[in-house]
Amino acid sequence: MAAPESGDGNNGAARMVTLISSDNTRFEVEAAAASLSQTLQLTILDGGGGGGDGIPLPNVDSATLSKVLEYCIKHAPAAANGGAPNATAVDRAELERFDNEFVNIDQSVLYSLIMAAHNLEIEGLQSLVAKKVADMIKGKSPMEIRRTLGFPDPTPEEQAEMNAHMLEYGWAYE
Amino acid sequence: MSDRVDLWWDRLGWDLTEVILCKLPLRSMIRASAVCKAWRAVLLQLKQQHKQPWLFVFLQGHNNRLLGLGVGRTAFAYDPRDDAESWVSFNLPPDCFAGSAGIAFSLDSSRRLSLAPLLLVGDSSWTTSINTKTPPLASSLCNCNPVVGLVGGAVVVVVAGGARLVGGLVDMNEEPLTTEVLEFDDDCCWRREQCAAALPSLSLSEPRSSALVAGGRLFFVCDTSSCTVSAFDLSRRAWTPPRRLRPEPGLVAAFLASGRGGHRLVLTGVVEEDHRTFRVWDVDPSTMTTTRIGDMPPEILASMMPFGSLRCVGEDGLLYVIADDRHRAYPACACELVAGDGQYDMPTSCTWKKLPPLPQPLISRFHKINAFSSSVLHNLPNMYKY
Repeated sequence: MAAPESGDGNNGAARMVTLISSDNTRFEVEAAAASLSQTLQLTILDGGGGGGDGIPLPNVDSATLSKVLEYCIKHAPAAANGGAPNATAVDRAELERFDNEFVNIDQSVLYSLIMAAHNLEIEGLQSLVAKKVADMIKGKSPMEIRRTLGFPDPTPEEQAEMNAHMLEYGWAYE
Repeated sequence: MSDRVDLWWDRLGWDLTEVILCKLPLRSMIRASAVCKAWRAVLLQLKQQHKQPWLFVFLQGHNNRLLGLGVGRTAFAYDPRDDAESWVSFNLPPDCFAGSAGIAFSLDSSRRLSLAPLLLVGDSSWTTSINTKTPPLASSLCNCNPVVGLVGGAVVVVVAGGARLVGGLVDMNEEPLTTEVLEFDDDCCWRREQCAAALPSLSLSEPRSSALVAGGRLFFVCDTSSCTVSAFDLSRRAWTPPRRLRPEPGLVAAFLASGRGGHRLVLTGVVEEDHRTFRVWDVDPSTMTTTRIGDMPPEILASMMPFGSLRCVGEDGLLYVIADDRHRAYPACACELVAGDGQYDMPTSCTWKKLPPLPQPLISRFHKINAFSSSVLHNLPNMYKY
């Protein structure tokens, strides 16, 4: 197909694409929203995902994909403006509020989200979840971090290493 | 509470672990490095330098002489990225008098400059991989706190300063700034080069401030009381003619720092008008034209006393102002320059923040406070690889 719709000049209706999750659920979204994913953007630019075919995403389940798309749809208008130089302070505050609430979710969802964001190369989402996880780690001791993130109990050797580290970098544990 | 055995945050993979951990402030990063082997491996490889400068505060002898006690001293460091926690107390290397680019500089009794990593973060075997002691410096450099600048990459140290001692006291007669450049060469040896001194009008009075701009090529030094500025051009190994930088006649104490990205200069200082204020200007390093950016807000200004003791240090568009008042536990504030939308790196405004009080006031009437700002290297060996 010879580049059917390039640029913004697509008569009125926004171009839609279909994404198919690992459990075979189909999601129809605007191409602009899906294009926040660097991976999908290439496929979409090649004309993929339109019509009946859809783009299969074997690594992302439907629960995660719907969450990912919620983020993309919200952020698509700002991204289309190229970092939104003309966005108002209200728009920016609204996006920030959305982001804060968006990551106020269970750890297992955070984990799936950051994996999906990484696979689909959605920079903003990856960074948002990473910041949230970093906030969960911040200010905690190594043991508390392990507990918070559900790591298995440390081996005696690991425990000894933790203690030695604390002695060596006392100032970082104040 | 919940069983999350299906979650393996420790198996996120290198990339994602790095993405998460690099968002931590330094102290949390260091703690995170003890969580597991995978995290430690990632953190040791992090190339990221903590670019925003920290504020370092310590006490020094009253007459500006280096203490020469050969002992490490307790110092306090403020991490601007760490909003939850504030000051860190740690031991400064013995006889440290200045710091820059993550390195603490000390002078020993044989007049050798030694370099040691600030906060000892990362691989502490660093100290064995580089000869951390330079050849002895000119004696005039060692009597008074010299200004030191470290140009990364090639490891070039510029030392300027010096004073004669008359009966154990610093001779306040104006004398040119002795200048030396120390370069760590390919054979891992220090090469010491004595350079032309700065012109006499750049006096010795303290405190002095300095700023590196133009990719580390120009090392500006500013004399606080005379507001005189001169730059050491590293490519020509010569000082530019000193000039008075006094955008307003009321400016009585001036400090210089580098702006964001090290392209522009920031001038700050105490202005005596009908009322006193602490003002910030943007300075174009090529033309030395100044543009007023903003004043310290009155509510912060009120706590920054006594006015005559204010010092300002900073780099990369982040400045710290600290007052030498032991009775008030040395009040300090931070000022961050905010770039406008237009010209790149040209700041248009600044935001101010009062720093929390020092955790345990350093109280000593026999000492005065010294402060410097420096970035903190997370992984030192990277800087010294050729």
